[in-house]
Amino acid sequence: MTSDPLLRASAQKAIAYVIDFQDPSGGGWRYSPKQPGDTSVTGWMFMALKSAQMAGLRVAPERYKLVERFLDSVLDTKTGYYGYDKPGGASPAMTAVGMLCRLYLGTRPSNENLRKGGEFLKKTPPASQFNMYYLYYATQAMHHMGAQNDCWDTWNLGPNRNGKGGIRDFLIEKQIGGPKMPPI
Amino acid sequence: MRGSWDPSGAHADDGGRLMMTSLALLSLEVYYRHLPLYMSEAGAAR
Repeated sequence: MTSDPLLRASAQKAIAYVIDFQDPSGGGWRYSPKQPGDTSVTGWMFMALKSAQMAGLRVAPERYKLVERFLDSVLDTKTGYYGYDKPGGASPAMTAVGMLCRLYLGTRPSNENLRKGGEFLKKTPPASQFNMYYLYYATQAMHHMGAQNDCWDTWNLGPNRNGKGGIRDFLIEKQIGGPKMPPI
Repeated sequence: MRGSWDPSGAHADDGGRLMMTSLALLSLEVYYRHLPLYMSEAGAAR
């Protein structure tokens, strides 16, 4: 992010470490080297690779192919939902992680599974579960879904577009010192 | 405490106030930090 050349060698080493930990057959990551992956750790590691690439470090494209393979193995194509280490269940958090990875890997918002996932997240608005991990991933996934199925406006501003029930006002209201708190 | 978010919900016990506040900030900043990856066929991303 800073493009500081002093950080480059260390950052490239960190990426080598991440790559060494990837499961070479299933394509995901978990807690020990090359262990079969879960969607949560895979999401964080893939974001690290993508951020590294955007910062000008080298990431071999085969690594992304492997991530696609992992995502395919946890996606329920009937519902568009992502599971933790296999398809099934109805986890909005895992679905948000899976969707964000797919969007970064080049799948378009008009993709059927992404549209179904977007509908699922719309039905799981911020106030329905105060889980910052979910909100962080869902906010990014919905931002990149953009106008598809009105994903971003619904997520950001709520179903009536007046702020009520959307992420923006929800987070501001929860901040200490925010509008609902007495003046300090 | 002012400006932070109280630990609450999944992962809050491990990540604490710093994780809550970081994730909240990164969420609120999403429009400033990330250009939308796609301009949707359904219309310009807003």
